[in-house]
Amino acid sequence: MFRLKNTDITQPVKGRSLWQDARQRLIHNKAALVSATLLLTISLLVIFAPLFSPYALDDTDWEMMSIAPDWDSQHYFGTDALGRDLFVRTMHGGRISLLIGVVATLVSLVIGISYGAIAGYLGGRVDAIMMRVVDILYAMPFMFFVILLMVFFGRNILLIFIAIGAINWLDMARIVRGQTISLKNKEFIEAAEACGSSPLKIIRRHILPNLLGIVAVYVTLTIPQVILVESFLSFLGLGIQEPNTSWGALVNEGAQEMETAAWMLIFPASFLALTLFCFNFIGDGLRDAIDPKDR
Amino acid sequence: MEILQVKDLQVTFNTQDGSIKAVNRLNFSVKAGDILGIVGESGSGKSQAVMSILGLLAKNAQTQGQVLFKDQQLLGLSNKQLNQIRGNQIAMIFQDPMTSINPYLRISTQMTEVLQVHRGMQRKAALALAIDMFEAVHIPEATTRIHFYPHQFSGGMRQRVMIAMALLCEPDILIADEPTTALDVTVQAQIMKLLLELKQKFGTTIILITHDLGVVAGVCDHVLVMYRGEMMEYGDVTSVFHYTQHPYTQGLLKSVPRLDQPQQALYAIPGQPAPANQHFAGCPFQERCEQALQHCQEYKPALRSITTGHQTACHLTQ
Amino acid sequence: MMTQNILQVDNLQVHFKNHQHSLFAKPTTIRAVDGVDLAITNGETLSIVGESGCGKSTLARAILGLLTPTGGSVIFNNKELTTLSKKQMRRERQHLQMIFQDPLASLNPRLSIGQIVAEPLHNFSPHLTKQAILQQVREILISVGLSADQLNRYPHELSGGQCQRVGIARALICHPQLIICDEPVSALDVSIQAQIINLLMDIQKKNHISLLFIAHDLSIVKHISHRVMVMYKGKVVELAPRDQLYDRPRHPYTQLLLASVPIPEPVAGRQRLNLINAEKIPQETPTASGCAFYSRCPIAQPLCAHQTPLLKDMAVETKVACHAVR
Repeated sequence: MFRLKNTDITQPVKGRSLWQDARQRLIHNKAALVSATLLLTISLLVIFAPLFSPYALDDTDWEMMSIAPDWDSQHYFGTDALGRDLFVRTMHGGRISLLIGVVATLVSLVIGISYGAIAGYLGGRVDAIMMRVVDILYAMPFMFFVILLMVFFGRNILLIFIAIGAINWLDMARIVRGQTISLKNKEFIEAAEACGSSPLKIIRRHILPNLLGIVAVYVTLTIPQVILVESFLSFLGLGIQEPNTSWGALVNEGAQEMETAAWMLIFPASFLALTLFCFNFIGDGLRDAIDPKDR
Repeated sequence: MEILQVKDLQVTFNTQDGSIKAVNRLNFSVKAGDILGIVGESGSGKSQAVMSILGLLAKNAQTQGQVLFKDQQLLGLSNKQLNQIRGNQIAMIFQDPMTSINPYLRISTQMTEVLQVHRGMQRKAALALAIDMFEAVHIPEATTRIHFYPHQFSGGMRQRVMIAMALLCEPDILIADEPTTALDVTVQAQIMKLLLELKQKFGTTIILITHDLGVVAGVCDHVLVMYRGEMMEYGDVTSVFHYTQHPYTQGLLKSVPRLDQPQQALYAIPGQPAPANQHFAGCPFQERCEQALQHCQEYKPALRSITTGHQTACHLTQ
Repeated sequence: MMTQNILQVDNLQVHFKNHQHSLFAKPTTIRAVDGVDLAITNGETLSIVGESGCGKSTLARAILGLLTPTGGSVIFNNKELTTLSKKQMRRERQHLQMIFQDPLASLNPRLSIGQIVAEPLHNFSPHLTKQAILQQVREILISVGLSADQLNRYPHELSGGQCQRVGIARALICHPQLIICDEPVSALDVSIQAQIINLLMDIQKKNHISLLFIAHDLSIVKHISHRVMVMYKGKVVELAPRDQLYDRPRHPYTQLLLASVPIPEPVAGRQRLNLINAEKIPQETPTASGCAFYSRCPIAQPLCAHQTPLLKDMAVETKVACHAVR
């Protein structure tokens, strides 16, 4: 019988994993690349830029209230109605918005993935019960819940993380459950069972890595959603507490002064919009990279 | 009369892994009323060669050479011009009937649409013709089943429906791309009989793409063996099966176990096909050929006639 | 000399409930596997043939425990598998492995070949050191015809034949006693099919493994089997030693199957095609009692519509389920 060459060499051939393939495709996606660079720049700005300004977050400049952007006075973005430097406030607001975006998404990620993967894999009655819980929670009015929390515990930034994260995990759970169910029917899952792997091992080793693709895409699309939700809360006056601010809160204030002091709206709004665009382009790019049509 | 002539056909795909030569200087012709079988494994280029006839290749494909249908060059025609020919003079059926018929429309709707578009017929006349076609492919209770949805047919029946749809405009050529691969063996036998019947009744020229040598032996008049985009052997079926010339064809025939012969050791062609983006200066089969010479790696074998109508591309026969 | 039956299946049933389209119709039961008996001895290859919908794949999964049978018993190595807990069943899998139809789909695309093949070792021999595992993985890859340096490659970088070899390596690494092969070569090219068939036969001889070989290609089945079982719509219609079945098929369905297989030779091939009659179109709704093959059977009698034929012993190790066969 013919045998292929058996080379028992110690140096194994380097494989090209699917992640590496996806990374290659992502790098070639110009929109995603530009967005990623922009996002990185914005992140660096909001962290480090306030160090270069002489003004603090809540410094009131009594002589310069509601002035337009002015280079000499180092009020690069102008000031608001209370004389606070808008540049520094925009940067601080960025910190809060991005932080809320990332942390709340992480919370929903951890809860959502565990919940969805377990429900999807176990199936049957367990799945049915778990999903009915999700359905019931979906039916609850989000605003009502948040207001209750705020009323009982005050306007704590931690609470905002929890509130938003606690609502968003429902979406993540549903998506993860759907993906898990479609993965469950794939032959390599059957093969893993045939190898004697326990359900926990299968979820951890076979299902989760194959979920990460869609989860990564969903995360980049959830973060802007969360930031918008926070902005909406701020609009309602339920968001972050003074003197801390977020882009949403700044947009709220700016909208009120729109006719007389347009810069108060334009700067935070631009940053907000730009960041949301970037996340969306990266999300699109990730989705195309991870699931190209030719495969 | 040679109804289809393929001259020097080349199909190249530009991908991120390099340029892939799916079909490399293919030359063959088909006589009217003949059944030609194109045999090859995955990567042989058989599907691509045939898709190029109808202009159905992917966007990143480049074609060169000539495909003459009734002396008309098909390569390079616009979509509009090709639409006159597709479904009308040259029809095609595919491997998986489920995915090539619209699942949301009744069969009667889909069939009458073809006739209305290509022949300008009225719906009533078109429906009558469609029912006739159903009966020609032996679908029972044609008048009721014509109004069924695709999912109401079984796999074998769906393939008959596909054939019926393809024959509506009485095409000169019917191209069948692996029509029986997804079917059970008993159904496959019935479809094979149907194809032979079509040739007799309508005189349709059939180009049958398959990897199954049993199907070729049972149905085809001529056979073309392809490997990695190039033609290895061509001839009438008796000549190719009984006086096989090319080592690849010989290998294929030896590696298929036969029901009517006593048990013997199964021959396996060693190695595996090279990656698609690899180009060969010489014969593409050389690295797996047990009779290969040094010559075979460097020089491409030219097509040589062994007897009338039996050609092979191999240095060993020269 | 008593040959031990390594696997004994008795009256195995797997039924599925089919929820109807309309809201008020009662759900019907699909009897995918409807009372199957089979037995395999050490070192033997038993093939199961049948067309799509006959239940052979469902049968395989029920034996392996991937599906819960509705009834019947599966005795493997003198242990009753259907009553085992999930945890106990997992431990039994060391001796009872499976090779799948789609070579690429049966491998986790995110794991490397080495990781895929090592997984059974991690499950069944957790005490092994990393080095020991690596050594065993290397050896098994070589024994299935791959080179050991393919460890770090990923499934999508390999060809279909190579992927199937990885699947075989994964099934072999814990030295099972029985391997269920679910259409292992159907998705492969012809020239690669022969390689894999030869590999399987080689492995069986060397390691004295039993094979339960499920396929629809009768020519390949003839080549590889000791005994053959023919299934139709969830039931066994004929069971015979290989040569008996191919030389003297008794059940009309077996005869139809064998007559339909195309021969790769023009003269014989055309003759066979001419002998095949136009098929009788089967009814869509099977009769509850009576032979499932009744509507397609060329020698059907009125009795066949009402009474289900039972599997009867015909000759040595030959059983047929047909009223017409005596």
